[in-house]
Amino acid sequence: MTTDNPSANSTENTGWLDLQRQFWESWSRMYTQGVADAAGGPSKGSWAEGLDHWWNAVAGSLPEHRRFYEHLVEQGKVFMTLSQELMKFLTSIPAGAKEGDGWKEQLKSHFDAIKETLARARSQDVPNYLRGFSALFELPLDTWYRMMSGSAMTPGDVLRNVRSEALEKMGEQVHRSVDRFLSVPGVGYTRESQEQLQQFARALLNYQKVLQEYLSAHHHLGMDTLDRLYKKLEAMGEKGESIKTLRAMYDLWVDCGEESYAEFVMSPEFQDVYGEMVNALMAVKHQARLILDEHLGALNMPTRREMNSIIRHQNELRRSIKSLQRERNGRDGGPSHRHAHHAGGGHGGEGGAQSREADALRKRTGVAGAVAGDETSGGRPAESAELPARKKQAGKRMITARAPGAVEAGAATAGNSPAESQRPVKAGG
Amino acid sequence: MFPFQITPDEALKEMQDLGNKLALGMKTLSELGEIDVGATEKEEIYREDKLVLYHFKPFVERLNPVPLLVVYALVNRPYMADLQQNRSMIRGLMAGGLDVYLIDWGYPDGGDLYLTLDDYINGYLGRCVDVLRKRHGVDSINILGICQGGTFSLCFAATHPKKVRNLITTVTPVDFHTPDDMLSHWVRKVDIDRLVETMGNVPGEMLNWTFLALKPFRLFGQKYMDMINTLDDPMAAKNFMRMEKWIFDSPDQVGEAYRQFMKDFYQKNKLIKGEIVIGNHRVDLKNITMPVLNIYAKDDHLVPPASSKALERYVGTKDYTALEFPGGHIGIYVSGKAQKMIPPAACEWVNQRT
Repeated sequence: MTTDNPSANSTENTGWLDLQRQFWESWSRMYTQGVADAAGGPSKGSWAEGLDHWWNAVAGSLPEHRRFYEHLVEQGKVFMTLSQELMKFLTSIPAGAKEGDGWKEQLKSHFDAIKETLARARSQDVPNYLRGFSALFELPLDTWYRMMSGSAMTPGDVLRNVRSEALEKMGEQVHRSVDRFLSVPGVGYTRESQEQLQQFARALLNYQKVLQEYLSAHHHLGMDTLDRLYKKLEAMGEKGESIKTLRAMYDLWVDCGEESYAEFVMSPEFQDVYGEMVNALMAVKHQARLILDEHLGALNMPTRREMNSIIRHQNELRRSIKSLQRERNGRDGGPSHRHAHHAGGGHGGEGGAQSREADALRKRTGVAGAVAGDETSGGRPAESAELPARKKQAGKRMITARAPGAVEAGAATAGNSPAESQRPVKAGG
Repeated sequence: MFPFQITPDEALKEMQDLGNKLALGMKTLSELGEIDVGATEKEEIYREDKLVLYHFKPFVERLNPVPLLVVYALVNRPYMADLQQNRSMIRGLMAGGLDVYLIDWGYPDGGDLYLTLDDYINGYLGRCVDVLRKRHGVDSINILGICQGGTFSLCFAATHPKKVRNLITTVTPVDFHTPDDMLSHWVRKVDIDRLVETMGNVPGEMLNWTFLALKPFRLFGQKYMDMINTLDDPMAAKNFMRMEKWIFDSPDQVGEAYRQFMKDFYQKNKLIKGEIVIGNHRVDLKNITMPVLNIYAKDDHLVPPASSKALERYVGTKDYTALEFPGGHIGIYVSGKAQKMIPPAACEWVNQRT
């Protein structure tokens, strides 16, 4: 093995690639030996571990796409773990069981053992390789953590590591006690700060609880995926079909995982737990921001509240300026202006009646967000110029373009905007 | 029959091959160089705040006199429509004689927090349309909307019908409550007001992972296994990395606009009820009387076909055409199959009507 740059030069490249091949051949031999020695023991010569060793040795030579490659390696490990499980089964099944229906029972037992592994992987006291196996089924959760990483309170979300089993042991009693403690009314001149901290702690506890419910809701996915996989394999056997490559097995597992996941996430239960999860996290973050704002205010530093106020004001000014510019320029950059109507507020449109109707509807139904925009009108008028030559051609079905890059004399005067003055104009168009 | 026909030797070889491919892939990736995107030459013709309106430089002799404005979504970046030379919907449209313009909304920041859908649709989009009407000396232009940009285009066309000659919508959500709409199902119980108050602008990364979470095993796992298999081909690796760059190039979503889009469109499904109000305008899809070409993807997991196909029931036009693409939400723009099908069909449809 070497950590030399794989792209250094062709001679070194050949040597580097040969070394990589040698590594995998050696690992292959170790694995074969491991299977013989330990009847498929998962940790001895594990392919996923081999990939880890390999990556640790070579990662330094790929600085540019390293994060991307790490993900490829992770997925390679998932594939290898799944494949190794399959190999364990294939090497352990007696030859006679492959005939008739005997294999079904064997396969079911093997899948049951995997389910047990998955269940154990939820608790803390399992070997690492078992944890790695459970990672196979944690892709949906992984995407959630990545999704929320930008908004989580702590990097990687520290609450993830509080395993649901441990939390269940804590029980509701602990939560109730903490909640009682947090409900002690604040007194004295620090009353407001105390209440804010209490609300923050309560929001944090609630988030932790909802997060555990979310994790638990996902737990059955792995089991369900395995059940579906078993049924598909059983059906294949009955139809006389077979899996011929490890990759085909992996693809089948992906299909089962997606089916199971799609059914789960489209359920009303998931809709509830997902909503609660996002809302609980936002409650924590919102409360944290309020506390932070208080501290910033005390230090005479700008708060989020003040910043929002400034941005809102600046946005209203921007709208007003655009509106004034629009009026100044005679508005509506269309060629004939015959379709332009002032709608009495809002950005330019085609219907005063429609506008009045909109006002009535807004009062009736309530409209999110857009109301602020009603107070100002329009934006700045279009600054771009017409295409004089093209204007003459308007109405004809097809027009002719000049070769790309051609610039016609006088084109620079055609436009009002700086960008327009740089634009090549196509002859005849 | 025993459903496995894999010998231990074959299995070992497959795993060994994977290891070797990963090793070879390191060499391929380290030699890839810059991941360039955006294949077709274009020039800026209008700029406002963070928005830029581009014109793609035509390369054919005969051009349709009515310009086509491509309206992209606020999510992700518009170069997906012009990813590379042989995977460019824009290029295909140009080859078919259309004079193509594109709105690039830019990357909003904290200063844009209070931009509303009114600002985006009646404001920015409206002014881009006016720029093109003036530039080309026409009363109305052709619009092609992509995904959320299609929804924006529908809103614009419904409130400013005289400015739109022909309307093309691609993978555009219309009915946000179809039974198979996963995104809509997920956000139904989310307190959007609290989310926007807390987050301000919504991080693009958060949306990104939400999209990937729709199919986590496939998009977060299997796709990368496919990638490993192509690592010995530098061209294929570069194509993959281009897509990867696009997927993770996600602008933040402006808080106020996001609030209205999620609440009124996704949660309350007001578009098909005729209850959307953008600024001073109620959006009534019946006002869409210009010709409409609605292109949707059969295997779209982000915008289910049923959501797009619903458009036919709500628009007022008598000239409505639907086109089904046999692929997914992204494939409709970047797949080889799409290059042969979508731009030629769109060009023929537009040219027949202009």
